[in-house]
Amino acid sequence: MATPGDIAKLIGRTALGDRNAFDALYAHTSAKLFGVLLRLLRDRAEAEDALQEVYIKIWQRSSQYARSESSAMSWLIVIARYHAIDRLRARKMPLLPIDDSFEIADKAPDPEASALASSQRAQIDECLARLEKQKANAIRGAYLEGYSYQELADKNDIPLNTMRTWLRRSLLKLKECLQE
Amino acid sequence: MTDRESDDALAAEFVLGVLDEADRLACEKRMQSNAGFANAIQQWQIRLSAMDDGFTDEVPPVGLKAGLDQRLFGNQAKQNDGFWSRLWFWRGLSGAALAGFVAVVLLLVLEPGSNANNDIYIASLSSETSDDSFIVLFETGNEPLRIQQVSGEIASDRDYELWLIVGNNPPSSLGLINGQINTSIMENRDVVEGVTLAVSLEPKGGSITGLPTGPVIAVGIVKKI
Repeated sequence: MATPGDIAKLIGRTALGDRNAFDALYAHTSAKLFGVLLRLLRDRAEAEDALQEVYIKIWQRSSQYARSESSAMSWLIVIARYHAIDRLRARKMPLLPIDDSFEIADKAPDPEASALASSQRAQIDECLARLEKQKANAIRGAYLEGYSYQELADKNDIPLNTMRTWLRRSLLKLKECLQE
Repeated sequence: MTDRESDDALAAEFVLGVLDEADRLACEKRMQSNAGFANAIQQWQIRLSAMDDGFTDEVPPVGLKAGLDQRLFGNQAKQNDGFWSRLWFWRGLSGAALAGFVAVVLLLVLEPGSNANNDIYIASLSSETSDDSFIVLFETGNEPLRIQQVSGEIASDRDYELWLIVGNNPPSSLGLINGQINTSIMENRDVVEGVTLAVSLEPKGGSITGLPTGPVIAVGIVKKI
């Protein structure tokens, strides 16, 4: 298992056009990014194509990493998530129906994750728990399942504008709690 | 909600991914020209990344990487030359991007090939009055001082000359960039860290006075990495 520092180094060397580093970066991070893409896109063939496009972006943008403050792995996940969300929003209709249960799988933290990551995770869980359950679920659902405002409004059976007002207020409350 | 809160909420909506295609595009465009908004987005990325371990690993199919390499590189073979020769990649970067470059080079301390016992020094040379910028890397031992121009252009009747400045002493010439750089003057010093390197614009062949005669176009302090 590569440490966050190893991944940052591999990105740095990728930025200098080092293909061996790029290969190692792929070996250490592709399972995570494929997991992100598969979960958001809910279509294996599309996720495979998207994974290649995501690594093309990583190759091209690796020089920008040094200036970003985020951890190496979350920087890679941002690229994958945005890529998947752009694809989802470009779809005219969702490919598959979203299951009605609206249950967000709450996976236990990865035991290998750093202490910092798990404390951040505990903090956001605690702050989400302070929100109404429906609103916390909407935030988790959007982040982990890629739900749009329209989908969230349909799930909660409320008008889109109401959904948006709800979520915007909830996000600002979340931020306030995280800063405590 | 104040304007500022409203902007912050928009940044959060962008990172969360709930916006429709048109609004996402508008946010991306705004990010390019509005540093405050770009920063708000970055802060939300960090905040919400705490949920990242909710994603489960899925191993992609074995052949996918070969297909990726084909898309990225075609049939171009891998080059196994040292990282310094890959610096063409960085040419044309602005001075601001150069700062990012230095941070990347800091990640390269463990670059295979460099001797772990050697000390490595780096300097990023630039100034606000000129587009010219350079990276200098220097390793104790027998390695030559390596200097790479990252941006700027020189007229054909001029040369860049590299100078070493220690404290309040007058500059000593290290030689011409694109020519022979003499590092013995640095190798003989006990302390290299903290000294200043500068590049001046000189007539072809370099200064004949032993001191810079043209404008100093890039300056930087040597740091140990």
